[in-house]
Amino acid sequence: MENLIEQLKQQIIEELNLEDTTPADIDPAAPLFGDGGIGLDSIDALEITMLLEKYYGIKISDPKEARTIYSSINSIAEYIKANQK
Amino acid sequence: MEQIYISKASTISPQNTFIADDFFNAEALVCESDKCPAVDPDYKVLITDAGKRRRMGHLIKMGVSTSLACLKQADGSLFMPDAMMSATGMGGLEDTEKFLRCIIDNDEQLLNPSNFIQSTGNTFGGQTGLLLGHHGYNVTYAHGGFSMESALIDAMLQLKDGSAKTALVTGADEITTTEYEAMRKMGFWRNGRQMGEGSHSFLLTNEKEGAVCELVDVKTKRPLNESAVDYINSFIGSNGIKAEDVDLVLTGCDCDYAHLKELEESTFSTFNYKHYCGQYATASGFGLWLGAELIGRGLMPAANGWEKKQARHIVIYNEYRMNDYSLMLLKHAL
Repeated sequence: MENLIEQLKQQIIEELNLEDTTPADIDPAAPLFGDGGIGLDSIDALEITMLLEKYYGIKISDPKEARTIYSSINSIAEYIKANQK
Repeated sequence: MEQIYISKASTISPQNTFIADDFFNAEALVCESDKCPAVDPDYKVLITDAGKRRRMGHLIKMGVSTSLACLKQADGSLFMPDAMMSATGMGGLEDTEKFLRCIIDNDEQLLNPSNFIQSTGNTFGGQTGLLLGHHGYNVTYAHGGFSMESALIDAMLQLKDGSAKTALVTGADEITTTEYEAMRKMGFWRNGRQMGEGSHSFLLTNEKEGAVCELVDVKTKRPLNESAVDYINSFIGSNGIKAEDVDLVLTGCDCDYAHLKELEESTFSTFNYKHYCGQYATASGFGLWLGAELIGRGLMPAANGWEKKQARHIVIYNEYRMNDYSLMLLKHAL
């Protein structure tokens, strides 16, 4: 799980072009969107959806479901672990 | 009729031009390769908001940076122009290519929104407007080799009819490996042609005070069915200028033959700027920047750099793909 979390952080930094952010800057339990986290927005949510399909073969098409899954790095990692074939 | 002045200019190009003093304190070196990438300033310093910067491709960073440099006032605040005109031949080509690749790789599903947003031609004008909080006229011209000229003509018309008192005009294009390779396979990069990139911003105004120079006229022609010298003579004649009053013709020829030879053998003093910036749709912006700076600084090209000599009139002659021919006339703001 720890490796998956670090891998996810790195992929999010690269895909979202977070050029001034390092994996150590991202608290895996902190919210990804809005205040208190790394301040991602709705375009980033689409990019994360693409990232999950590209790297993990996971397709998320329900926005309500995405809202819960994308709440933090930890929650995304848990979803990948539970759903990756 | 109102005169139009260039009150400020800023350029990113394959030369060290973003800080113009650095460029004019050294000898300009022609690009040796057939691919001439821009000398990039530190964009982190110029566009400090990392959240905004991460959604900017190279073209947008260049365009926004020269635009902001033109608008920066002595106290650090940004001047708000009445109108903004942008120009680009190809737009965000790097992101266009990524977006097209994404369409193929993802079988037209799940397309990357960032690449699409950044691929459109009007993005750097839009981003500059957003950073400024500008709600006025903001238009982008994507008119091939006449993009820069079209934006300038729009600005001049608005300044002349009083629709705007100040206008920011920015032209930018970028190199991509795919375009370079595709053009190379077609044999385009030969006969002295080099691929370049850059961004060129000009703040135009009716105010003479503090002006770098006067922008007298801009003309476009496609195709050129006369000699380059006749084209220039007819252009300056229509502005009441004689050939002997033109101190320099900055020649932006498309390749090393035909018109370049004709102009170099004419009675005009010439300086070919295309080997300093390369060829791209808005390269005439580099010529305009160079001409404006030469007049503003009282310099002229010399054998090993620049010499102190005040030009009264400079003509910028530009060719793009042996199809689009433009002329611009600059005058010392006496």
